[in-house]
Amino acid sequence: MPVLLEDGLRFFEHLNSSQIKLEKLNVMAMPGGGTHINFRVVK
Amino acid sequence: MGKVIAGAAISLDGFINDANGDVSRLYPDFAEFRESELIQGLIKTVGAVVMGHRAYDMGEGDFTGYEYQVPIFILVHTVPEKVAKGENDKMTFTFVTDGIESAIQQAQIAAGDKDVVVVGGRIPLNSALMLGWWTNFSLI
Repeated sequence: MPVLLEDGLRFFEHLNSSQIKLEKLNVMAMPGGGTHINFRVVK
Repeated sequence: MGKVIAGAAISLDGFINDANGDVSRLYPDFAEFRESELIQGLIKTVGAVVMGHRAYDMGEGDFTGYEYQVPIFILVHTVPEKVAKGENDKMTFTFVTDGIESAIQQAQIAAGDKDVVVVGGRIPLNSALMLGWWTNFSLI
């Protein structure tokens, strides 16, 4: 969403993210100005 | 077996709620959000839900008319004595105390060929990703 919260719960934290590969599948405009991005987790 | 889908509304700077735990700026119009092409599409393909206890608590004890009318598997530490309202022959609540892996396995069986969606806060989502369960995830 196009907002900046500056503080709160981080969605991605304590992840060993370097091992996670993602592939973008599609992008869709959402109500409220959001952008939905759908990813596939590459195994 | 269907996909395991997880998703969240996230601010541009990476937060899923603000410092007070408020999510309202991320869901400015929840009714409109529920009617979106995304959610209406998911309703057709989702066969079971895995839900964190915070998301369950956000239902405030009543899931009448919840968008996913499918079996719901709720992650809890202890099974609550009082169950939320709204169950019917399609939407049932199962409380799972032995972790997200067990909850996803049970949900996959319930969903059959349909997808499992994981809803809730950071803990069920991230732990599921770390366990390699996700096949898809979406951010808004």
